[in-house]
Amino acid sequence: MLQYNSEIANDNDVFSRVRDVLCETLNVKPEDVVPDAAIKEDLGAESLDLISVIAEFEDKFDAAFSDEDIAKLVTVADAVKFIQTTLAARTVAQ
Amino acid sequence: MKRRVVITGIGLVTPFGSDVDTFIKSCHAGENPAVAIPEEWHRYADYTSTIWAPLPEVPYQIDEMTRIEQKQLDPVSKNSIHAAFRAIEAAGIKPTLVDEKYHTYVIDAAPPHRTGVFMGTGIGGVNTIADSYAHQILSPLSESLPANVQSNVTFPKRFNAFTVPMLMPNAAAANVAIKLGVTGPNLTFSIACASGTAAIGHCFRAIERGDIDVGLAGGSEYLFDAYGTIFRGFDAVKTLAHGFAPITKAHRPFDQERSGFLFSQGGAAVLVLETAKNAAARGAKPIAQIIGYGESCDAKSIMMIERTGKEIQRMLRDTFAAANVNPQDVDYINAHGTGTVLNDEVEASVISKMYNRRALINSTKALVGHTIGASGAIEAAVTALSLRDGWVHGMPHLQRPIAELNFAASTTLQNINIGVSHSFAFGGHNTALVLRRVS
Repeated sequence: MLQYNSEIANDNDVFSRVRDVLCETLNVKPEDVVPDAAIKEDLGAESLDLISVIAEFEDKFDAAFSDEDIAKLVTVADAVKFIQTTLAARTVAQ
Repeated sequence: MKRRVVITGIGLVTPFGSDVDTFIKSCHAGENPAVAIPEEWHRYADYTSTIWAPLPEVPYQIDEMTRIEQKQLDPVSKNSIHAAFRAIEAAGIKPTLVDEKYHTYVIDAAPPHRTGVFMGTGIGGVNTIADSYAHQILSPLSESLPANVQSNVTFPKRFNAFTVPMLMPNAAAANVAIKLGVTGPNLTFSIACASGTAAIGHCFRAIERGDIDVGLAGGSEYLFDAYGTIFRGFDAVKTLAHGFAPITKAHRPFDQERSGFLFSQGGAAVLVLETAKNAAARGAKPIAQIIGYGESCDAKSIMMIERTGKEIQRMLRDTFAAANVNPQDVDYINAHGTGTVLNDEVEASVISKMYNRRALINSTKALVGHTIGASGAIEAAVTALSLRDGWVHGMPHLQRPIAELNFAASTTLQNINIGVSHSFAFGGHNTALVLRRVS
């Protein structure tokens, strides 16, 4: 499992934005959205909910998720890490 | 034994707004929503008609649909849900939240399985089809296009994963049922301009014969796309109002200088229908009673109304006979009244043969334009409110009528007891609803 790096998350504000998306889309409490929480098992996302979550991530971060990317998104930390990596890659490219 | 069916609530989305009182006041004042079509549509084609009736922003409530839900619904569904919430509110039916995660409710005007949803739409989620198609073909190409072309192409940034459930015609009826926990019959009627009338008519029949006790029935349509393609489809066959000065008064049903209808961005109407007994038990006040519904098909042309109107007349005779009403006793006719040359001519001829000359006639399309699959439902609502209040809205642009009939050129207060709403459609579909005032 990818390690959640709170320092980077705080710097980029990615974690709080990911948490906002998960809270709004899955109707869960902010305190339940912790780095190790599994999006499906712990936060109760059905397969259709996951599509909503990905769509929100794509809108919020202007990022595109491939099917392979989506398959790797197990925990909240995975989502944060993936988005940070995507944003970092975009910054380098620019 | 047939059961009495009454309308107890109305919810609307129209070019005059989404509040029923505001809508009806605008009708009575003869307001005109016609404005020039969006400037950008002119980039892609020349049109014969250059006006439309845009929809004001619909005040969706967060307790009806969350922000996330709104992104996953075509306006046809969103407007249906909004109108359904407003209709049940007007009928005194309170929704109870039962699922916080999926934001769904139940209503208890009758057991869920004794409650149905009947919706009409001419096309369904065509706005979603247009958006998804534009994304599909333009997103891979846009960066390679010259700068001056790039600025003229519009498409959503991301492909909407909910494209299929957004575009399917049955989405409106399904979404209303999901939102309100209605588990009885759930049907979609798609017969073009008569869709909303058919939905209300079949809901009326289901309640009358005892299949269900309560129904949410109406129609919804949303015809906007960024490129004006849908507008062009109607314009290309010369069905839209044109060639009159000023152009914003070109929509003039039953006038000698009529040339077509005012294209409306869309609309929705949902009516609460229930047995009179059910309404009385809940303490709900009926707006009007539905006493008859009929339908027929010209079986002649996919777009042109059959010139003699014989299948319309047969349908009306059968409908009035089943309702045990003499058509000579009809006080008010909410005509289909598109303002197209042949349609109005045939309808005026049918009216002159079927009804008493004193029957007051108007066309709601003379005001808000044509909302296609929603039009029959909006017009049924207008008919019900006219029976309740006695006010029949006018047709402000009618100056030289095509026949010596009792057209309401201006808003009129008159004692009316029986009203009929006609809807005729591409495909040759004919429908009519007969309503009675509730004293």
